[in-house]
Amino acid sequence: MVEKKTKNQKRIGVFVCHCGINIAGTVKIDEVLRRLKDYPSIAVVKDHQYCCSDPGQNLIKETIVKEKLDGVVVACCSPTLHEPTFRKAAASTGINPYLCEIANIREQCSWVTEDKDKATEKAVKIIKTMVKKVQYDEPLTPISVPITKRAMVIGAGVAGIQAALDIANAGYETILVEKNPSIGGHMAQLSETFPTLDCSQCILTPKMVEVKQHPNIKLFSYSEVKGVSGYVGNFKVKVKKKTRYILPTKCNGCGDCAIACPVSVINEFDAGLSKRKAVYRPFPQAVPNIFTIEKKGISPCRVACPAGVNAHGYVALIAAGKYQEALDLERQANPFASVCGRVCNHPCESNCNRNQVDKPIAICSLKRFIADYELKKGRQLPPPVEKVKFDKVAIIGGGPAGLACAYFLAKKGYPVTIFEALPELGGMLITGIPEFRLPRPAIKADIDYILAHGIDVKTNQTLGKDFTIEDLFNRGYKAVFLATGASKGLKLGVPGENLSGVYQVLDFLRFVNLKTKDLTTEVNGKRVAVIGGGNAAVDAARTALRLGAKEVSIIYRRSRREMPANEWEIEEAEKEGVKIVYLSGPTKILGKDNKVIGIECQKMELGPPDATGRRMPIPIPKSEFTVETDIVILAVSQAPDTSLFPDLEKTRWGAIVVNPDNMMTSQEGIFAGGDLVSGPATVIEAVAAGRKAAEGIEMYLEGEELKPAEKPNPEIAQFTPEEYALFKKEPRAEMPKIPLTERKSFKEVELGFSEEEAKREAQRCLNCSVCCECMECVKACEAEAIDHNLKDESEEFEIGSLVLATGYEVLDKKILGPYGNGKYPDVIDGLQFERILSASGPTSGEVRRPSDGKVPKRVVFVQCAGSRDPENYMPYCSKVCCMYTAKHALLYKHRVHDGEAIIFYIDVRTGGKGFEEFYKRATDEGVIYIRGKVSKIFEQNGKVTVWGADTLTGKKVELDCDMVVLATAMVPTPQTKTLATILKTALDEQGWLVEAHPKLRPVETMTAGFYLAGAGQGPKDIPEAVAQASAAASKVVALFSQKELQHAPIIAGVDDDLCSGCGLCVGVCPYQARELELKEDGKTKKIKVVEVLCEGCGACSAACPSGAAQQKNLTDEQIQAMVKAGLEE
Amino acid sequence: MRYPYYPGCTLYTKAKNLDRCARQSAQILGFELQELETWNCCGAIYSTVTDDLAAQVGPIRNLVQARKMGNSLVTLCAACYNVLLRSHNFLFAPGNEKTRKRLLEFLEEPYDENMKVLHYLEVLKNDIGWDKIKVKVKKNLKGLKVAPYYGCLLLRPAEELKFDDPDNPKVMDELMATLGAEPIDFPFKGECCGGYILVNAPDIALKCSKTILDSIIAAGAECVITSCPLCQYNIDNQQKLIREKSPGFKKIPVFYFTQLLGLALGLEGEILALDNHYVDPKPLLIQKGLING
Amino acid sequence: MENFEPKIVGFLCKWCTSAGADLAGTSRKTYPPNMIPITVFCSSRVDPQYVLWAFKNGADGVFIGGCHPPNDCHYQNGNFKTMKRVPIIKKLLAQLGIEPERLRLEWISASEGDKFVRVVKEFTDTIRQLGPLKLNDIQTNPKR
Repeated sequence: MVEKKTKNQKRIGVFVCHCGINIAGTVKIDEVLRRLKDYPSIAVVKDHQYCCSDPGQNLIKETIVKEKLDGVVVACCSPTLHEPTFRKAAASTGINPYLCEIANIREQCSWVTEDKDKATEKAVKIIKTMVKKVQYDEPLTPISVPITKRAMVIGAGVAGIQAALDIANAGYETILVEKNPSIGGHMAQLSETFPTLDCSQCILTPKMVEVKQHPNIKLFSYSEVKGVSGYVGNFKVKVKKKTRYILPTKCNGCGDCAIACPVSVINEFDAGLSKRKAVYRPFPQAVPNIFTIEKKGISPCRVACPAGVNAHGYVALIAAGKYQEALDLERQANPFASVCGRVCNHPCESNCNRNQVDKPIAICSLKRFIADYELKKGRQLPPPVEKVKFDKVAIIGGGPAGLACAYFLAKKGYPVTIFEALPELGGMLITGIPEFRLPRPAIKADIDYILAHGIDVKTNQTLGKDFTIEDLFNRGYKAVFLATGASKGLKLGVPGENLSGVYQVLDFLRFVNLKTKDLTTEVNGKRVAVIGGGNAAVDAARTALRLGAKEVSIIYRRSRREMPANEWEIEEAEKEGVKIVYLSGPTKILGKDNKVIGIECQKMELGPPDATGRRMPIPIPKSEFTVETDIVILAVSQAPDTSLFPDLEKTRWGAIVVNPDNMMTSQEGIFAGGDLVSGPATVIEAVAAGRKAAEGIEMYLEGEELKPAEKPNPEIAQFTPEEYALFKKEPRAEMPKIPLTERKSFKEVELGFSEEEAKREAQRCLNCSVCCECMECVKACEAEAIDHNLKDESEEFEIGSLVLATGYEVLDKKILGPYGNGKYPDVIDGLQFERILSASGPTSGEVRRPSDGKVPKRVVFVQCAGSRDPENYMPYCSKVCCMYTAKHALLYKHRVHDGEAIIFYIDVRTGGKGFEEFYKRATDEGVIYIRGKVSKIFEQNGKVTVWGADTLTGKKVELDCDMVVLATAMVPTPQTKTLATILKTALDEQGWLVEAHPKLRPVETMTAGFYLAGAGQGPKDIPEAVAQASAAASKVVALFSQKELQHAPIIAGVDDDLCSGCGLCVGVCPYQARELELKEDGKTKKIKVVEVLCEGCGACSAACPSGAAQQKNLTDEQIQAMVKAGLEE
Repeated sequence: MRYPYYPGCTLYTKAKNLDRCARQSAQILGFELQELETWNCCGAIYSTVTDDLAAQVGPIRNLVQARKMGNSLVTLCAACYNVLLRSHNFLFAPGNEKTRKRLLEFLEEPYDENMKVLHYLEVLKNDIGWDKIKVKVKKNLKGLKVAPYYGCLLLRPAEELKFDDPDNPKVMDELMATLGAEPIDFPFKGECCGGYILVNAPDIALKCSKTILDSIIAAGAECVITSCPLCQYNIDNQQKLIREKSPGFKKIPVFYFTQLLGLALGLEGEILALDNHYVDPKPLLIQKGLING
Repeated sequence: MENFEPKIVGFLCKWCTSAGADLAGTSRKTYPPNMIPITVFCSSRVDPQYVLWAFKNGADGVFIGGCHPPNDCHYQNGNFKTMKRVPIIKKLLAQLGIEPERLRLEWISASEGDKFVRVVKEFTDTIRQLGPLKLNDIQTNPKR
């Protein structure tokens, strides 16, 4: 690497400063002058007692002019002191200030060297290096950039509020962003403030109102900063505005919605000591004074329901005692409240999050309760819906699917007629399900309700016998819905199925349910064997028992695990005496003179899973055995009878094929659903099908092009394992049943919940998604301010400067192991005690302990809970705890006169105006201070015990008390971390925001234009936070008061001729100041430098393999020349 | 699976039940405890005297034996576990390179860092897993209220053993829940049982065990489990003295966790060794229908 | 070797190490004068070529001073770039037959005048121990 001579050999003047004896005392000035005199490109060397003095500066100026210098080196103190001075001086003579450099021969030479010769030697070398630098220096002019004179303050606690107000009052537009629904921060939670004991709210709320009303402040509460780009004076900030589902313009803060809302959840404003509604306002003085609806996805129970019933909604309403509202909500998606409340297979319960805690909510039985409750108190059936539509719809089959379809169509105002083959409606409900599970009145209740909407019914009308689908269209029906079910029993395909005494399960059940054939004599005292494992099989078995069968057994091919019947039904059957023979398949039905005498079975073992995912039964050879029986009931499976629909497309196993989006069959205008399509399925699935068909039919009749059923994949509400661990176990309400002795009749087995049981059970609900979308609030809101369809919005702002006031949290006491991991209700943290003391708090200012509301007679306060504990928790002092603990103790004694306040402390730190006096006051008023740490806190037999040490007496202390208040450490909010990553600003190891200089730049960050306010930067009390806020504000104002910003020109450029477009420098640049762009040829790439972004670190120059990236006035050849000069003898 | 196994002195004498049930249960759960060919006293107390290398030789010799058989060593006695694990850590603690060299040269055996000193409970939790154990349960301990008492040696020094949370230990609670029993929480799970001071300061030792027992009974437990013979002794046998001092005191049986594990997995009779307890546990188990009288 | 005076080039980052050196001065700590300071804006500015160049031009040792990781760097992460770069340079030096100890990287903050003094003393001694660098036939490839 050969040093190349610069074209213009500069005339450089060197001025050596004596700095009194500071330099001259060690460095032999005259020798320096002598040795530099003839050094290349040095035109003149002079010295002066004090170059920085006026005469000194004049000497420099005059020499520059006289000697026509075009470069200056001043050998003196550190450039940090007088570089600006001498550059100004040089500039005044007309040469470019960047051609004047400082050789630091004081701090880095004369002051640190004893030997005079060596010091002189070093000084000469240092000066030579700088001479070389100047030789290559180029004239530079600072880059000037415009400023957007709009500020943003992130965090609207007291610090953020103060900063915003100060900037706004200086006349600059200010955007205030707060993540919570209201501004005010932690200060709004405090009761009274030390040392003056004035009410926190009373002094804060006026400021909050001022923010709201200030013309220069734009407040974005319930919003978060999501992205930042740009540089000082010109930032772009993206802000996400979370929706409140409430229109701020309309909400008048009346609070009717909260009264109507059935959902109660933990109130974080009261630090978890009270409950709030899903629609809430953190506190009465909130700013803005509007409500917010909290949503966390959708509850799993709602997602699990095939018919999309809002289970969470009606459970919540039951918990709130709003039974009718609950029922109405349920019926929006399913008219069979009474029926499903009894026989639903309730997937909602199996998906209930409460499973993770103890047992699921008894959602199904709760549904039954509201249905029964309505009947019990006497109901008014709804008036018929006015027929606003004219296209008639025919529904064939009066089972659940048909009825549901009719119901939803009727509600839309369509004229609907149901054609039913049997004399009455209900389909499988009345023929298939025995009365002891589903009594007739229960079915009637729902059917009456459905028909009340104005539905025409024609019974005893059998398709194919009394009418055809053709006729219907001829009679002017525009659409037909087929719901004839699956009632064709399948045979086993073994010898002997035609013997007398062999029944198809559906026939058997129908005879009994419709009393069309009396089987009592036939069954009474006989042995009955049911073949199959579905609900029908179990129903048949239990029915047989009730008919007086002497013994009843169910024969099933697989094991209990695979049995499709509802678990709870199987259990009842066994209780009632039904025997179940597992892993056995019938091979032959044995008969004697055409009467059944038994079944020959074969033992099975389970093989690999089959298509249905259940394990396949495989016969074990030579394992035949015989079950003696008089009656055999075949409950293998049922299939739809589709012989009536020859020209409709069918599946392999003979069900009707429909378009899943609108349930239309292969023939236009003909729709189908229920078991006819799905094969034997549940009531709720039939309802779902009916509803979907209704929607499909409407789309068809209104000629809307069919929109495919959108498959929403909702974010299902979940909790973390930690959260689950926190829920208290509560027993699930048991369904009361009639005693086994009464199970010989067809009396309904389950009796239903009492009101109290129902309410208590409903209150077990975890409210997974918080808001249950029952829409009660919408009904309640007269201002019509609520819209559950609102979405989050985001907006981008251009700002010039930004103040970070992200505040603090108190350390979660759950991590304080020795203090009980937060499992003891009467061991609370400082913030909780503030709420207890606060007049607006959960106990309205009376000191009562959380567990039982008793007034604590002895309270132990533990300072430094998590602070000053580097081994386990936070190494730092949280600063405010000493004072607020003294305040707590004092206020406690004021409220509870005979109370005893004991404080454990390591040190009491009272640095602050009036602090020591306040501490004194506390001790004077009888607060007991024990110097020592607390090793263990535990609660047993209703009292809290504290183990500690008294380091003054050196004794172990064991104290029983009623409540413990932990002065838990102040820690940064989790949001601070996220924000710091977004803003690329530094955090210290504890996660506090780092200031630019601990002493001289305490409110600035390393990033120009970002300033710090409040506890986000470290533990602070209110006055400090406010003071820092004002300081930060004044920094912003100072920045904005400039016309434009000067940007140092010591930046890295690029030499296009050398740049190969490798892009290495793009990666290393911390400021995105370098971009790869296509050259004119459109093929090769080259680097584009965004000069204003470059901070001049030079990383790119070091990384550049071709030497194309060169830092101005610190180029490769410059540095190499300097190195060389520094080394030459 | 096969684990080199270090029983330790007590498990051959007073704590047979701890040992036997563990081995048998292991078989049922599909792993084997393979006893070291030769082993010696673990040292009983971890020597914190840094220049007393002799104290380290004992435990380290056991480790070295185990290393020949595999890369892990399973123990049951909390004390052995504590001493062996800490001796291993001592060998490889930064700055101890010279000492390590000296010790191993003295033992004339190879040894390296890839050695895991495990407690039986760690094997159950991490290698076998609660689910696998659940399906093997023959006798569900439903309705049995058990207070898991961990003591100090199993948990502390926590940063060195990394066994469980010293303030809120869970592993034995989880095991009991897996077996169907109801783990009872109480504040003294990790407090000292009195340990060796039983010898020179019996009164203090007595106070320790009484505090623990009182709290266990107050919490509504019907029995206690431990994994440490010393704890077992102090919590079980000390009840004799406690009753002398405070006659009202209601006795409560103290098991080794392996006994309940074995019981749940279907072990019976001699193996459970239900006879060498001071407080006879049989009445409780009979009442719960877990053994027949 | 008694009268051998090591020649050392020191690349000091402006914000931390150079400021630290100034502090050493203001607090009148003395240290050997063998190191000629060259202040750059960031330690990440130090191109590996400079190190070789320095040795080529007669340096017996090269020192690089930067800001403490992780957060001290004035340019967000320049110190990390240096942290990664120096070991590679040391490898390279070894291949060239130059003892890697002749290159030293230290994090010295503006408040660590004492550390600066200590480090310069140590380093000068190290180089003294190593003796003068005999470059004889070591080739550095010119950059361009």
